[in-house]
Order: sequence, then structure tokens, then C-alpha cells
Amino acid sequence: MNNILLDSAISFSKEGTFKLELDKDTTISVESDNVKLYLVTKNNIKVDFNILNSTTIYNITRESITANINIYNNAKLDFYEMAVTDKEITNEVNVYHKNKETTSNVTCHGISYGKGDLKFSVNGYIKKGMIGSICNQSSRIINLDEGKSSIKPNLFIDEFDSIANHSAYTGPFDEKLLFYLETKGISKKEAFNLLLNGFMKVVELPIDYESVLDNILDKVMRR
Amino acid sequence: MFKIDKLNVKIKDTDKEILKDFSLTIDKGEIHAIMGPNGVGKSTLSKAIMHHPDYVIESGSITYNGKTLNDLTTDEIARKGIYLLMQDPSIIDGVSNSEALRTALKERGSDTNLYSFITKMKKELDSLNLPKDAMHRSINKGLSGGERKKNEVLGLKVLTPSFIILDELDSGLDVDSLKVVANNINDYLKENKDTSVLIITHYSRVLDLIKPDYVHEMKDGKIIKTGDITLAKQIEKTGFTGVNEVEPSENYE
Ligand SMILES: Nc1ncnc2c1ncn2[C@@H]1O[C@H](COP(=O)(O)OP(=O)(O)OP(=O)(O)O)[C@@H](O)[C@H]1O
Ligand SMILES: [Mg+2]
Repeated sequence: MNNILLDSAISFSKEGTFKLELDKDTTISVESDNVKLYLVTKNNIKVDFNILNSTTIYNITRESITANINIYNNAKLDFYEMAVTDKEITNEVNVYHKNKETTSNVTCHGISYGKGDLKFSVNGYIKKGMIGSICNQSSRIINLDEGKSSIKPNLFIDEFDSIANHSAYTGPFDEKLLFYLETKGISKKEAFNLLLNGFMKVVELPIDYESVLDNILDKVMRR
Repeated sequence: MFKIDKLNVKIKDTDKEILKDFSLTIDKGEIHAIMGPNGVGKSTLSKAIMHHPDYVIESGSITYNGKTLNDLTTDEIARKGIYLLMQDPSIIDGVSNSEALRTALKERGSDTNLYSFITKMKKELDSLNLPKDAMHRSINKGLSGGERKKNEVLGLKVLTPSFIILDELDSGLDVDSLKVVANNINDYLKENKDTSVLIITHYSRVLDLIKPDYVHEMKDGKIIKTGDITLAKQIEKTGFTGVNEVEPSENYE
């Protein structure tokens, strides 16, 4: 994986897997097919994406971020936001379907612990004429301790010939799942850690990127 | 010996009493079956044994090999060798079968050598006709009702309990799958002669495959009748005691 020191604008014209740490406002353009971006964002920044070809983006953050995503051509975007916080932060993801037959799948998972207050604001825009576009959003936040959270999912759809879905959940882990694991002889603490880990890793991550998340989750598990 | 003595169980935060002076003793190596109408409290019994947080033990005791389970946590009860195969096993996205079972072995201080664990898992998956990659899949995700039951039998064979509760093992399993699963359990019981089983069921079909020493009929929160397999056949034919309108069952879930 490549670690890239970034200017405030960068474009990807070759396929590949890239790991980026962003701490200032940035514009990212993806021109090639098969680009996977593994991001870690800091400092309450704004990141603008121009997606011209099929792309997968992952972002791990402990802080606020605004992601503005424009999708062109017939590109398909898979976007995974992973937020863990004990502070008051907002993760805003705006997805603009700029052409026909564009697809976005936005999955946001978060943990709000301690005195955290995590907000997900996820907005999908399909203007009239963007026929055949698909906009899916799935957001879930688990509250631990006194952690609070809210999810504001919005679909602004002006085109009938398109598909849009959203689902959202905030709350604690389901008691049933803890019970299931405990009946196998797993202590509450370990059962809880298994659920936490499984919840945050919705998809398989490369080891050196996963370790970033592990370090963050470790703080939650040891608290 | 597994012994329940005059157990009274309520649903948490309500006045709803489900088990009323429920008593049952199961000796080492014995197989018992409980039958009873929907909602009588069979699953409640199984979950109360495991200390599910929704149920409160008001009075009475549950003991296993002389030790009372009342004050133990769910995981401690499980580590005493008690395994509950739930009526409706949960789906846990993101936690794999192997991760959970290996953690469960670790918590028991058992051997968790990766090679022997994988070998064991492969062997058991095979004998249950489950695909090998089920090991690395999220727990019960994307599995049918019957496959989920099989997956829970996998857990049983890996965790090697000495007291097994099967809550409607047969529901969701087709005729052939039920045979496969019953063979697996019978093989396990042959290898582990001291293991006891409590089978909760509505149908005698599972009891023809896993043969019980005793069959109990449950009503009003307790056991009202005890017999052998003929009691199961009679219940199937004429319905439960005092409920005349029950038709002989032909449907098999
Ligand atoms: N968590 C709960 N909260 C409220 N009521 C409950 C809860 N669990 C069980 N009950 C009630 O307790 C009664 C017994 O339920 P239980 O699931 O034990 O029945 P069962 O004998 O297993 O029935 P079935 O044959 O349908 O599986 C029912 O009336 C049910 O509605
Ligand atoms: Mg039941």
C-alpha cells in the first residue's frame, strides 16, 4: 500500500490501493477504474470527491468530517465510514449523482462512548434526469456508556426512474446477541468485544489499515 | 445430575408468572423430552436455566452436579458444561463461527491450537453436511432456519457439553437434515455416555431418532404427566391433557 503526502488536490488515474492520511481540506478525483482509497481523516476537514469511475473509499475517523461526493459517468461508489468517538462530532456525507446510471452505497458505522455525541448526516441527491441511478444508505451507531448519537438520513430524489433506500439504527448492542455468545461460555466482556469488533469491521480491511482501527477500538475495549 | 426444584420464574418487570413450582430431575446419561402447547413456557425454562436477563427466578433452585446455578452468570453456566440450542438461533453479522467458538474454547482454558481447531471444525462441518467456508462466515448469516440449527449442532460438537438442551431442534429441519443432525447427536452421546439431554419438541419424529428415557407433558407452568415415548405418541394423537379440540397433527414444520 502506498502512503501519500498530499497536496490539497490529487487525482488517481491508475488503478490500485492507496492509503492516505488527511488533515487539511482536500479535493480527490478518481479517474481510473478499480481504485480503493483507505483514508484516515483528522481536524474537522472537508473533502471533495469527484468520482469518474468505480471506486471504493474507506474512512476511519475520530473527528468531524464533511465529505462531498460527486459521481459522474456510470460510476459506482462504495463508501464506508468508520467513526469512533467520545467527543461531540458530526460526520456529514453528501452524495450527488451527477450523471445517469450512477450508483452509491454509503455505509456508516459508529461508536459513541464515554460522553460522546456522534452525528451522522447522510444526504443523497438524485436530480431529475439522472435515470437509473441507485442511492443506498445504511447507517448504524452503537451507544456505549453515556454516549449519545443521532442519524439524519436524507434522500433528495427528483427522478422517478431511480432507486433509493436508507436504513438507520442507533442504540445499544442487542441483548439477544450478547446472550447468544454468553451461552457459548464467552464472558460478557469478551462477547462485547467480539460484537464491537464485528460491528466496526463490516468489510475485510488490509492489515496495516485495520490496525489503525484496532488501536482505536482497543481504547474503547480497555476503558 | 441436573435438578430443578420448585422453580418459580417471572418475566422481568411484569407480574407474568411462567414457571410455577416447576420440578425436574435428569440423571447422568438420561434423555428427557418435554412437550406442551405453544406459550406454556418451554423456551422460558430453557432460557431461565441459562440465566437470560428477561427472566427472573423468584424462588426454587437449579443445581448441576451438586452445585447451584442460581447465582452464576450465563457464561459460567455454559462453562459448567450446559449447552442451549435455541429455538431461534441469533444471527451475528461480523462475528464468525470460528472466532466465536475459538474464543469460547479459550475461555474454557481448552486447547485452541489453530491447526487442531481447524481440523476439528472441518470434520464436524463435513459430518453435518455444511459447507467448509461456513467456518469463516458470520454466525448464522445467510443461513436458512434449518441450516442455523445445524450450525448450532456444530457448536455443540466443538464445545463438548455434558448437558444439552435442544429447544425445537426439529423445527426448520427437513426429514433428511433431521436425520443427519440426529445421527450427529447420537454419535456424540455414544462417545460421551454421561451426557444428558433435554429435548423440547412438539413432534415425536425427533424422539424416534433421539430416543428419550422419559417424556413429560407440561401445563400451567409445571410438569403434569410423565411417561415414555408412548406419551408422546398419545399427545400427538389426541392432543394435550384437557384440550380436546386439538386435532392430531399432520403438519410437520
Ligand atoms: N421476553 C418476554 N417478554 C414477554 N413475554 C414473554 C417473554 N418470553 C416469553 N414470554 C411469554 O411467556 C409465555 C411462554 O413463552 P415461551 O416462549 O416459553 O413458550 P413455549 O412453550 O416455548 O412456546 P412455543 O411452543 O410456541 O415455542 C408466552 O406467553 C410468551 O408470550
Ligand atoms: Mg418455545
